[in-house]
Amino acid sequence: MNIAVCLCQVPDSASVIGFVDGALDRSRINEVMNPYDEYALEEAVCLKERIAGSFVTVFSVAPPSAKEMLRKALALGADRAVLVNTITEPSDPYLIALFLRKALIACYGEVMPELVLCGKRSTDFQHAEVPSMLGELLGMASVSGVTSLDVSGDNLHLEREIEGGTEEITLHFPAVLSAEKGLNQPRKTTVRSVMEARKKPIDLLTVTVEETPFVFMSSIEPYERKKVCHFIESEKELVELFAKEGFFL
Amino acid sequence: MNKYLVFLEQREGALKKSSINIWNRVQEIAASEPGSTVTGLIAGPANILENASLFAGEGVVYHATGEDLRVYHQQYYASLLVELMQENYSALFFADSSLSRDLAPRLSVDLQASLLTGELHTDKNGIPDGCVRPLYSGQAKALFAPQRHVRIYNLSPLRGRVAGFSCESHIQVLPIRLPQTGIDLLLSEVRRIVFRENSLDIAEARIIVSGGRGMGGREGFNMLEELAALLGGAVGASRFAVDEGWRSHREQVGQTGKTVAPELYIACGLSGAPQHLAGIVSAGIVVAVNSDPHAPIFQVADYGFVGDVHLVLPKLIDAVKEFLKKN
Amino acid sequence: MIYKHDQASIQGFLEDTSNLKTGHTPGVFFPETVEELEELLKEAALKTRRFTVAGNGTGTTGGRIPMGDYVISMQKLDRIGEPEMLSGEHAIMTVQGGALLENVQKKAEQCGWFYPPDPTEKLCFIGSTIANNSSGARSFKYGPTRDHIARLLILLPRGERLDLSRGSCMADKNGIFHLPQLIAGKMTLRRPDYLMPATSKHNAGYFSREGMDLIDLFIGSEGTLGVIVEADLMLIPQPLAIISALVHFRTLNDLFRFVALLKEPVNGVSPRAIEFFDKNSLRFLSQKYPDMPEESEGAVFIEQETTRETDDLTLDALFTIMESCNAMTDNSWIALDREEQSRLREFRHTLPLLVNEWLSRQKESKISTDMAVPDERFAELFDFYRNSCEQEGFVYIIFGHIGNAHLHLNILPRNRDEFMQAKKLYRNFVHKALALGGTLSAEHGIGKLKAEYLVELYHYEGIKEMARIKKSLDPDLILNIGNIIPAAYLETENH
Repeated sequence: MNIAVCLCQVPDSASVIGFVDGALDRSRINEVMNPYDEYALEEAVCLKERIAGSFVTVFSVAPPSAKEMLRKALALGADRAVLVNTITEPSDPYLIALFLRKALIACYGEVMPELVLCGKRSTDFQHAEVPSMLGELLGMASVSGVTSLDVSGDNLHLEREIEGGTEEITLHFPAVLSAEKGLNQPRKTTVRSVMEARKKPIDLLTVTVEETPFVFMSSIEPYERKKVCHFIESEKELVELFAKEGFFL
Repeated sequence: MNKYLVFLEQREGALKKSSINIWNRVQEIAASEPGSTVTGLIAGPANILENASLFAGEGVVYHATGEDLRVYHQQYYASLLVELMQENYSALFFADSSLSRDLAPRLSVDLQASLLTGELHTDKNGIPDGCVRPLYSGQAKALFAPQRHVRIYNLSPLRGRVAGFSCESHIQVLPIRLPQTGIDLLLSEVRRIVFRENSLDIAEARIIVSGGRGMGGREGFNMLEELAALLGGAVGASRFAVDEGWRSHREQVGQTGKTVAPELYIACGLSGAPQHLAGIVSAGIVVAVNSDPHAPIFQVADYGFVGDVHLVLPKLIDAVKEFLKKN
Repeated sequence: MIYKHDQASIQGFLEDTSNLKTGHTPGVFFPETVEELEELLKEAALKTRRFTVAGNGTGTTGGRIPMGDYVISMQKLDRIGEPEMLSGEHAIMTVQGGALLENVQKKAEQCGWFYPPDPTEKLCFIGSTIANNSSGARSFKYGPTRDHIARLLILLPRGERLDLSRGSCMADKNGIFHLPQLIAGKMTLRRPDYLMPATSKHNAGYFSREGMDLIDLFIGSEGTLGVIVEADLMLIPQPLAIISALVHFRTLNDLFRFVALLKEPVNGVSPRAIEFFDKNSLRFLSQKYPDMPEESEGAVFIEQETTRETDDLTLDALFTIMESCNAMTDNSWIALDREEQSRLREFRHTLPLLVNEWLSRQKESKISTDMAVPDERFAELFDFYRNSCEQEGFVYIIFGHIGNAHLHLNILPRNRDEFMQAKKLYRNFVHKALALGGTLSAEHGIGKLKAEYLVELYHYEGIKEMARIKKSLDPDLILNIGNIIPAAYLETENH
């Protein structure tokens, strides 16, 4: 079975999101693999370990600096990495999905992978749109926010969290799935796996698309959320406050 | 002049209040735009009368009553909406939910429509022209503008209670059928939905009582359960509490958890890492209880209580009980 | 000035992490300005008050616990200035003594700079880390706090201000400091006349070395010679990237060989931290990290700074060393990005938490060592620790800064008998470490808890030297009495 995993980079949790002259200051941002993508990759590698003859390829539409993240992906068990080069780095989910589709076609030709795995969303822009868009573009079913995955023959049994409950879903290959936290516990990179990853290829692929973006980020600014905190001395005062604000129904 | 379509989500036959909120919001927009119309769509059997009084304004609500649509099927729902959108709607509105997040991106591609997620942004005439959304753990916010004529808005929950803004509403319900074309191969099928017993989802809760590292362990959350039950709210948790296995991931608030918009958020024994604060940008009143007066949570809190949660919460619970008994 | 003397406010100042339970004080002062503190000290002799200076209570030796004296809390003096760049390679940041180390490091980092000292406990005051010359994991490469201090503003025990920049007052060849100003009526001061042990880390008693800087006498003096109210910290550019790893070994021989190779710069690596976990520590950790390899006899945590250019070469060199020492590469954890690295650091910090959790169920306090010996005697002390504990059948763990030949042994008594037995053993450990040319304390300091043992290291003459220094600078015996120098040495000399 061929499994494709789509990865992106996001600022790590220690990165400083600052602004210089009204623009995002990228100098104090350090990028790592999107945490949701780690779940997607881990699931792909688990499937590979279960189903003989499987092959995991990771794709990332990103600048060349993403190589380090791809190395980590290889150390985590991917067999091959493809860095998708674009002339300008797209931020529009539709364009990203188009690039990914082209990259998949370039790598797999006629026989598309049985499974495409993505993270539920990136933690920086939080669009959560690319996986379903890619599903539509590839003409495959898609399920977003998968928390459990089980394969039996040609069928996939999935669970996904919805408000107040869980949906149990059955579908056939091929499919595009996006991973939610809880799907698995990503493994650690071991010394051996990092050593071996250095022997695996990172392929560069340049693709172009003609289409224009669906949405355009017309402004970005710091989000000032500081409030003046009013300190309360007694529990009673707090209850009175709840009552005043109408929190007791 | 715009034609707006609002998707009214039902679950178990009941219309979601968040959807009705969006309907009413769109009615407000249409009211300031002469000639504009608002149309609704309900997929699946639902009891509309139950909530009819909550609807504001006037318009047609299409009701596709087929049993096939009772639970969410990506493909059925998509073809229903794609078919309906052929009637030249300029915008389709969703209330953000696990359903809309699964469906809207596919529709966006199929309809070649701009998909906008977040809080609705309007131009000086009150006409929708994009969405504002926090990015980077809520440390920045950005305005996204559509680049296509047709738009799909997936709107974050509007805080506050559902209420029609005029008592005179004229809703006409018209039944429609699921189009049978183009659905020969069923790609995915929801076998069943397992609902958790009497659990309010934090994404929909009015009040959330949330706990972090300071709760000290699984048992500490019992106090939060009790307080939440008294207030009619849900229990939330920080990433630490979830990673420690104290609480389930579905309760996690923040960057790798849920974004919530309660009217009241009570943060207990959690320091307020940026990743957690990212999840509560849309919360109304924030109350923080923490023993460290320098904890960052106090910077985004309206009310603060400096003290050990293990001492403060039992007293708070007692005070709430006493209040409820009296009133 | 804020002064509190109600039991609730005082209570917190009677404890640190040492378990010393006999502290008591009439009250606590909270100076909000340097002037207020100055005033307090100036009137001390007149009002016959003595003071114990309090950090944030993270110390392990009872240094801040008052024995009847008033307490000065530094918590209100917590200003942190902006880093000022001196060159591309250095910046200076001025901070007040009561600033939290965590906030100091965060501030530096946000401005693109790096303050290397990194004691595991971050909720301590920067002034306390200077008074205690704190070190930590990164000290293997960067040395203790002392190496990162450019200037101190000290309030001497009589309230005089001493503004001391590094390099401005050095001992001459006779060991005499020609003081920049009159201090307690004197213009000169002779450095302590003793030799410090030849260990790579040492933090027991006053610093003394030929041609030493006066500033170094104050650093590590545990608040006995003056109050550090302000400091200029030397910052360096933030390392571009690091590699961190937890490497497991099947035998301790392999592990020790690995450590030895890491310490040889010719091997192409120069870690900033080399830390050790014995099998028992790993067993504790496996409660939270179930994927710990069963057959591991011990593990080494390393942090190595790299740049994009050197990344590959460094990794190659590391792998070569690991393989030559039969490291368990299949099970060793390596973290290449910051997110994973913070997870690995969390792993390291989890050990004390798990140990404390375990101890709280046994209701006995642990016996822990902080001795270090010269590199070549390291194995001897390690074997002695292990054999002694095995013989007694104790629950114990050995972990820590193996790069500096400085391991902590924690004995975790299950009952009162074991506690008493372990305490007795502690004395043997001190004898052994000192006999091997080691130091009584490599990083935690002496405080009140270990003052009696210090005599064994420096003997009567050495302690007398410290008492001489103490009394030159604090003739009225105002500050931190009982720390470092056993009180008896001060009193007898007085009569």
